[in-house]
Amino acid sequence: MFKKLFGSLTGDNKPENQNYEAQSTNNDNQTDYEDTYQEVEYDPETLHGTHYSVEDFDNEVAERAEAWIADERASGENLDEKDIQNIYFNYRRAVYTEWNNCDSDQMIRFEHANSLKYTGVQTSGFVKVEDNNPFLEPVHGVDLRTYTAMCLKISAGIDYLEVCRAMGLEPAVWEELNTIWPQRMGEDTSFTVTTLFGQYYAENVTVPQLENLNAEVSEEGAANLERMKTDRYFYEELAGARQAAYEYGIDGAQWILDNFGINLADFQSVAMQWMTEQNQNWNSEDIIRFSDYQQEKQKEYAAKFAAEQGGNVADDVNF
Amino acid sequence: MEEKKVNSFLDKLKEKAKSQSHYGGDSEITEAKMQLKDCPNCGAGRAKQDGLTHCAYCGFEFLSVKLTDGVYIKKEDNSL
Amino acid sequence: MFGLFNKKQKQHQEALPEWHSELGESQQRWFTFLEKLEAKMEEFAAAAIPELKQLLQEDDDLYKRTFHRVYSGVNGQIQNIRNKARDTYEEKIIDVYHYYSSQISVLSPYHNLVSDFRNVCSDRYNDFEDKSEYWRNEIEKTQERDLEIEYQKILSEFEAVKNKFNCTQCGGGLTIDRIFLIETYISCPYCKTQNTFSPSTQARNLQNIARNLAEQRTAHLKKDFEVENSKERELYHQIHELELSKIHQSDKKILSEIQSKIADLEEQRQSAIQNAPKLHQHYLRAMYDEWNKITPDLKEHNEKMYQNQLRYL
Repeated sequence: MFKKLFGSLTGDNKPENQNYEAQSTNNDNQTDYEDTYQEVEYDPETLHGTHYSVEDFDNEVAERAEAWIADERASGENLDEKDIQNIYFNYRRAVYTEWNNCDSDQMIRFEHANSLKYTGVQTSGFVKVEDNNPFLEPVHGVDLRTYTAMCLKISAGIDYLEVCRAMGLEPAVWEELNTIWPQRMGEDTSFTVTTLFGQYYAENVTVPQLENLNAEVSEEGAANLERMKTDRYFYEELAGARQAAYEYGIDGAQWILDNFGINLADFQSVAMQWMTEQNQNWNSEDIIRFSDYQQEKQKEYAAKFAAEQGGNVADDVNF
Repeated sequence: MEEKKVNSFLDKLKEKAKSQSHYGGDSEITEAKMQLKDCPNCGAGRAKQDGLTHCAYCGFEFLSVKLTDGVYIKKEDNSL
Repeated sequence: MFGLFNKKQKQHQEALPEWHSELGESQQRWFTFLEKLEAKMEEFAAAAIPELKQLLQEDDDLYKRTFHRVYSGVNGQIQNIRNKARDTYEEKIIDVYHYYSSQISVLSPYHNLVSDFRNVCSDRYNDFEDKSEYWRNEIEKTQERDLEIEYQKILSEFEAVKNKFNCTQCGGGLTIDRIFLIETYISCPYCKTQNTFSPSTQARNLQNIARNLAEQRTAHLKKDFEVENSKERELYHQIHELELSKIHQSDKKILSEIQSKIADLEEQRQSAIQNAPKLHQHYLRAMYDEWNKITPDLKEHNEKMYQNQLRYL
């Protein structure tokens, strides 16, 4: 499950982040890279331009969407809920791009920032939590943050019994937590529980009870982990290598631990960090560049694993 | 010749898969069991009516959380 | 297989441009290349499938991790072969097509030879992809286990242990009244002492197989839905064919026959559109009922999942 959840994630890089922050708060940098754009100031929370009100925006979208819907219906089209959502979705994009005179990356950042409001689904990096969300009620007194901290320790290789002991819980209680929290992730269609779990995971959260419980990490492993957090290319290389390992019948998580000294919890945590940053600072050029790099590295490692197994079965077939 | 390549690849794949250690260790196969946890402080047993969280005699804390309604454990299982 | 080029060669024997034979050669190489890849894929998959089945039987790891590693490695090779075909297609067919397509004027009587080259090669490539998909599915099937057997083992184990335990405090008999999915507390009916019960590894696994078992049991209903669901497109294409056949038809009697056939098919199509979601819902309800029967302790959660799924039907 984790392989699926984290395997395809790509993130974003630091310089981009700075660029974005500047752009979303005071716009100083914007004209530097795109001089055809007007000076637009964005609200840091909603990413709406500050030269109009959110209400005006929503009204404009509704007006255009409803006109189109009425038109479609008049010409005999049968529109269902999904069609209507799509129509709104498209007009939201159109109006946003028009009113802010922005590129598609800015528009996607705006969509991420408002995904809960407009589509009912959370996006990593923009999680909004209402008070009294029943899905976030603690289970047996353990809140989601603490539950995530326990999961992190266990994925890092610490025996769950030790984690229980440190938390003052008997295994029967842990097993209930580990049933109910995943159930809530499944039940919550806004993905608040899942996204928040991912956010805590990315933050590598801990609680005082667990602070002294640490998986053994070699000096080399610690250095590699630090590099993976700061050097996006290194992260992409390891992600590509891990993927290639699976394709050659090797447990990628174990392979990363054996060769780079990084455990699964740390690996996934960094993967989530890059993904969160990527969502917040959406930049399609960077995304493509990193994804290409990962594929290139995956190929390199695949060639290495293939050589260890005497080549691929179809190596002798040529055009 | 052709046949050999395919088979040797599969053999190596199997061999490698079998010799690798599993991330997180081998899974343990265990039988069902029933255990008892007496109070490590005063040795008293834990009775249903006294709840699960604290020892009824010396107050020792078995569970340092407040139980809610879960899968099998219910909030009534908190000690008073 | 190379009929297209042979035929064309006869037609334009003298006037054919030089590049034509080059394209012909490329096409021939492409066909041979894919044939070899297909043979390799078949040979590999045919050897791997019985091995995988055996591995699944032998793997005593709870999560069948050895099996899954080999399974993943086998799929990796199939993917490697597919990638090889895709890369070669891009380089040797599509790039060549674009080159000639830009060199030869659309007004040239031979321009269509270039697009014919592309079409024939791409049709052949699609056949290759279909075969790859077939093998991928066959390999996927090796994961299937008869879950009824596993379920029966869990049930008989439960029968064997449910009255086996005594209270660790007073020795009174304890009854395990259901298949517990996780560790829990059981209080003694005599001395009220809280005992901790840990289900066996096998019993815990019930939670993991329950949904798949329910799906296995209701697979026929899913099939009914899928058949109904695919009717709409099939009927649409049949109607479309009939609409086209009207164009060159002047006989009024035949035209009216076609028209009534179209009306009939359209009626069937509308009924399929109406029925498919009903069958889908029917399947889901039956599957969840079955699931709840297997793990009643998860019913409350499953029902929420069911309601969510209905909303997105």
